[in-house]
Amino acid sequence: MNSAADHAGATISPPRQPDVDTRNQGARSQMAAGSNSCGGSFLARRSDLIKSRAENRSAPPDVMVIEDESIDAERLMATLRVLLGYDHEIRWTSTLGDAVNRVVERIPDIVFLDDALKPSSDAAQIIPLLRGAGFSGPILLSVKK
Amino acid sequence: MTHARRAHLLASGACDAIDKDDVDSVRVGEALAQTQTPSERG
Repeated sequence: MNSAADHAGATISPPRQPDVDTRNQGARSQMAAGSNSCGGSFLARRSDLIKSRAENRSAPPDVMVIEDESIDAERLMATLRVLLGYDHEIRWTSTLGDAVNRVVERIPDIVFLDDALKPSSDAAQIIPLLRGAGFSGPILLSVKK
Repeated sequence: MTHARRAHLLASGACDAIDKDDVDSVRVGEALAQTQTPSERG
C-alpha cells in the first residue's frame, strides 16, 4: 500500500538528453575565436563585408516605367525589383498623358520608355515631351525587334 | 531593331535601347550602370 502510494505520487522524469544548445554554443565560440582553418571566421568576415556594403550603398533611383503592354511592363518591373530591391517602389504608367502628369508631380531619376506607345506615339516624339515636363535624367528605351 | 533605328533613337535623346526580348537582370543592370556617374558606381 505504502509502496503503491509512493509509486502514484512519483514524478517520472524523461531520460536525460545531451544539451544540444550548449554543445552548439561551444562549437560556435570555437569558430568565433577562429583559426584560419575553420569556416566561422570566413563567414564572420563575409557577413561584415555584406553589412558594410549595405551601409555604403546609396538609395536606389526613383524609376518610372512607361509601357502600354502590361506583360512587358511586369517583366521589366520584376527585373528592376531583382536589381533594386523588392521593397523599392517602381512607378508604372501606360499612357503618354499620365506619364507627363506623373513626371510633373514628381520627377523620377530614370525613365524606362516603350519605343512605340499606342496608338501612335514614337519614342522620338515622346522624349521631347518628357524633357519639356522637366525631366532631364536618363531615358532607357525598350524596343521591339 | 536595325542599326539605323537604334541610332535614330539614341540621337533623339535616349541613353540606351534594350530589346524587349533581351530584358533580364544582366542587360537591364548594364543599362542602369551606364546611367550612373563613376562616383555613384563606387
